[in-house]
Amino acid sequence: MSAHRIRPAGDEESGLPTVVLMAPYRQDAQVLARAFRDAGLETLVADDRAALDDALQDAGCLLVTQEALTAEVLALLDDTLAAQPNWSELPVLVLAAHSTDGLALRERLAQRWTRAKLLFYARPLAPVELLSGVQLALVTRLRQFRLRDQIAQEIELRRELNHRVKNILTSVQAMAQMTRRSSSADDDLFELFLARLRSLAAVHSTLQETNNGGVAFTAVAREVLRPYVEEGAARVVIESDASGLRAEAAKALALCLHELATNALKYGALSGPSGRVLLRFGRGPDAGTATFSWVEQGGPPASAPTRRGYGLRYLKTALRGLFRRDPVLEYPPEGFRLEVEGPADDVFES
Amino acid sequence: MRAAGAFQRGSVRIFICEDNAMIALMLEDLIEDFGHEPCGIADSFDTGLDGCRAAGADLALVDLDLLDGPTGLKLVEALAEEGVPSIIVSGQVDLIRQAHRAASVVRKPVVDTELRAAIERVGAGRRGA
Repeated sequence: MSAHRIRPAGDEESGLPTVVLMAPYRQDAQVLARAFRDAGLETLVADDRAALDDALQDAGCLLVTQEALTAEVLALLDDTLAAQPNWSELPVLVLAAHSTDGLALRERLAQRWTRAKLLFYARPLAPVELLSGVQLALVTRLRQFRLRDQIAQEIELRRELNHRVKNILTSVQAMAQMTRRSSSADDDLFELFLARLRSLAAVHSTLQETNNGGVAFTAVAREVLRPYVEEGAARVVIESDASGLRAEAAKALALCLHELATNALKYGALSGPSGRVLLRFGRGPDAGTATFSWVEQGGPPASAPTRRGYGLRYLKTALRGLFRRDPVLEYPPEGFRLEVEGPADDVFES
Repeated sequence: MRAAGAFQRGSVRIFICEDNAMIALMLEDLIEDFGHEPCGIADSFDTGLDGCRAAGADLALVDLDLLDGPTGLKLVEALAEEGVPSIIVSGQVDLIRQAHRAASVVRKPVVDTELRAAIERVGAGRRGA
């Protein structure tokens, strides 16, 4: 066997990283490893170059005796130390054979291994003297590992952020293109676009404020329909349960509500002083389903649109995606109504 | 072969696999602007594959991240098995680590001339085949 591990009992573990030990002389390795074990440290004893190479992968520190530093081991350590990532400075504890060798060895290795934290000891030495040096080295290493994890996390966060920004930019691009394409000559393009952008921004802030568990439909609806849901003069009445929405569902529903409100303001119940809208959303009679309905009353008689507007096209596509069913749109004299019911899987946070 | 024939006619039936409805609609508009024919929208692996089959698509635009997760590359692969070429349209093209069988890759936000050129290139490759 070229490497073996000596572990402390489970309840005595220090939580510090592993000591890699290479001490080929007599019982050195056993004696030291036992002393470390009694102090709650885990030791991996390497007997040859290949085992050492393996063991160094996530070493807390390296303890080598002078006898272990053969030409091939020195060459391996040269390469390993030079190849360390920026966050890493492996602590290396060297145990010289005699105090007289210590200084020369120190001189030589310090020049050779500039990317290591070097500590020197000389025999004769009791294991307990080494122990405090090893513990210090491991604590230093633990701090390096934390830095490594933070760097990795930061890279991941930056990548995630980058993707989100691209998604948002693409959504805004789509919004702009479609606003231009499907408006009539008398529309104020810029105003239409800005209003849509405001809805997107509103839902983003609502999502930001709700960290986990999903945002409630009412919160999204109140934000997007703000002018129509004020206390005392509510033109849109919202009936909804408190189920948390998935973020993507919340965004799509916010934009749908914006299109519905814009349409109602132009042609429907919100165009005159007396019309009202009943907005219902929640789990269906069977908890596995979700329902959404927008029912206008008291406005001018509804009639089916003559041209294919952006709003309608978006509503149909988005709601079909969300509910897996085509929404039903009706234009009775008492007012426009839209209803859709489908599987809840993509709608609610599970 | 069906797809090659369509490319020869000049107008291509293009299916869109994208889970953001607004972006899907924009792609639909762009396809029409280029003189091709959008033939459907889907937002997941299953609906994408079924949709392409049902619509007899000549080409698919595929986002890497769909409603059912990062299934875009798998969809590209499945479509390639059926002889339908695809163009990846994604904001996460840096995540593509493995070899894939997409005919082209277009970054989001979409530059319309890039998408158009990618579609034409796929067409040219088909006509040459």
